Amino acid sequence: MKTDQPLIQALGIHKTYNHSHVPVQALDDVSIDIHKGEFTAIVGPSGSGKSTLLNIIGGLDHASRGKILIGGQDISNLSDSDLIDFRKNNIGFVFQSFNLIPVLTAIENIEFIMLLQGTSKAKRSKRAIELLNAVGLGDKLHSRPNQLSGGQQQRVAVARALASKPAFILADEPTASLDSQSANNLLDIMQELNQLEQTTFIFSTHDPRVMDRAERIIHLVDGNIEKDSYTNGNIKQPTLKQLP
Amino acid sequence: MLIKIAWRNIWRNPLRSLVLIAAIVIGVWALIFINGLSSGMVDGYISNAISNRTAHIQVHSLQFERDNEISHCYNGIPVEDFLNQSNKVQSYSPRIIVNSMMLASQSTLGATIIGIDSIAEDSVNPYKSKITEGKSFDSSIKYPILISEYLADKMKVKLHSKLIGNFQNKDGDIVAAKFRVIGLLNVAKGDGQEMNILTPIDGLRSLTGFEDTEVNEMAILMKDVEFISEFQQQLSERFTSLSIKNYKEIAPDINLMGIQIYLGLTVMLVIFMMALIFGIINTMLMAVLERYNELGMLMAVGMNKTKLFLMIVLETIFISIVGLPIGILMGSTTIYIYQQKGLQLDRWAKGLEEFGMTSVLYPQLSLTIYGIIAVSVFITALVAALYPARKVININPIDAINKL
Ligand SMILES: Nc1ncnc2c1ncn2[C@@H]1O[C@H](COP(=O)(O)OP(=O)(O)OP(=O)(O)O)[C@@H](O)[C@H]1O
Ligand SMILES: [Mg+2]
Repeated sequence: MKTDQPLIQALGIHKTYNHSHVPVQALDDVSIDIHKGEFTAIVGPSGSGKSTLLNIIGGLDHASRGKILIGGQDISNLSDSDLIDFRKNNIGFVFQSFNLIPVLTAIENIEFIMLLQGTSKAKRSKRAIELLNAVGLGDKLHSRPNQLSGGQQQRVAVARALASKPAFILADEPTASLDSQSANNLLDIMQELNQLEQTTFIFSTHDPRVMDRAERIIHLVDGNIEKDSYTNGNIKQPTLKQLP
Repeated sequence: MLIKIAWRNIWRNPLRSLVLIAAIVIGVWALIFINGLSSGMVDGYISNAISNRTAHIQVHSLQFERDNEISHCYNGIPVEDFLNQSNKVQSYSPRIIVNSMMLASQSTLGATIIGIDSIAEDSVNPYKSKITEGKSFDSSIKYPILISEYLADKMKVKLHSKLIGNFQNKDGDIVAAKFRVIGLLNVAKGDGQEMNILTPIDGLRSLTGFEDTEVNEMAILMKDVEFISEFQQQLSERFTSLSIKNYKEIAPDINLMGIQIYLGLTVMLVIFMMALIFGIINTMLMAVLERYNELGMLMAVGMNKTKLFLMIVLETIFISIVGLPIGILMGSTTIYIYQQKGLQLDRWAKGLEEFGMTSVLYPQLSLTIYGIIAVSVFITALVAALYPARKVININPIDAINKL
């Protein structure tokens, strides 16, 4: 499942926030390699730097020191607007909330990201329908976010993240606002996509039930990697659904 | 899709949007109606002035232009020939103009006697329709005159009264003639025409020693105001020794009135636009700050700043111009209604008549002004969009996503 060249390389990442009077050291020399197809959870107590690390890997924030290489390309020095384009074409995002545009339906939300990439109308709607089917929302194509449950919204967000055919998907606490059944459901879908499509997922969580599902768990404590381990965890046999 | 998003966003908070839209509808409606009123007022004034005083073009000798001396006349025949050849001329009236001292049994007053051809004059200045007492000229009386009610009142004369006129003839000698009032005219006061006395041109020619062909003034009405400047040019080239003036040059007050509409419009537009700018910015800022997270998310997932900026600008323009057609429709309907039945201004009739205006107003508005109003609203929206849109592109996506 792993290729030789890592998909993501974080090299000696430091992050210090200087906004307040006392500088906060959020990440202290973090280095990791993540390979294509990995299903990685970043775990750790609140304030340990999970979000900070994901933001830096995702090109939403700049490291104070260190480098991020994505597919060998150093993104540390890209300008803000180059980073926006880079994110659009290479990274899928699932946030804890505010993932969707409230005035657009599920299918429109997914098409929108492809529109930004310049995909043709016919391809957009075809792929959007396939993706919504894949996340089990084939009957909610034209529902607006406020007509969907929290779990359904997060599934649309996963479909949206996949729509742009990104190199990997970052999900910062994707289940934090979900009840445990919806959380499990979302994880099932993410896992299926990972196994069927080799989609690389990196997600953060402090929910033990969720972290158990990961293939690799990176423990952060006070901005340091305390433990980085592969498990053969309780990976469920996926109920097969065909994906685009 | 940007358009779709922008449009739907307007209706996310319908009440707030409707308040702004209603404000724009009312503003546009009021602008159109007020401008229609002043435009109608000015137009009434101008067409009054053209038919009563100036016609479209007047031809004088150069010296007469300077000193109004009766002796400065010219041969009217070549000019009439030229006018007869043009198909753009509606009508014309040759005139002799004499400044006279008028004596009645109880009063003396300076006035202007204008010698006219009764038919030609009526086609330029419809004086016959203004006769309130008496009748128009016929051949039964020697030296008949029509005077304004105002003049009759001032001189304490009535229909059929006799008036003695003292004036210079062409050679500079003083002559006296006995005129008889055969009719009274109801003319607007305040612009000088109430001091005019009309009499047949033949009688006045014989009194002043004018040749049959000689005139002081030729008043010309064109078929359309469009033709005026070009025809004025042609006349000037053909008759270099004569002074050819259009109505704006003859009566600068007309031009001033025209300028005044645009000035009034400009002032009102500027005030309206200023109020509108603040209204739009306020509404849009609220709308945008409310969506801080969502907009930050869009930037996070790869919507670039240009597109975000465009989306907010589009939204601002939409919210600003939905009200525009409604306002225009309401405004033009109001104008149309009053155009049909006229707006009665009885309460101010006296004051308006003093200024040579009629007391029934027919509002109207040119398409240009509708256009100016529409474009102004559009530009205002564009300008007002810049500030909220700039705010949006400066959002930091991480803050926006983390803020719960
Ligand atoms: N914008 C910021 N300004 C200042 N300090 C920050 C900022 N963002 C994070 N921090 C600090 O950096 C440290 C790491 O924060 P981070 O959000 O990465 O933690 P986390 O592991 O995601 O926590 P949680 O589980 O609560 O989401 C914390 O001490 C936090 O207070
Ligand atoms: Mg976090």
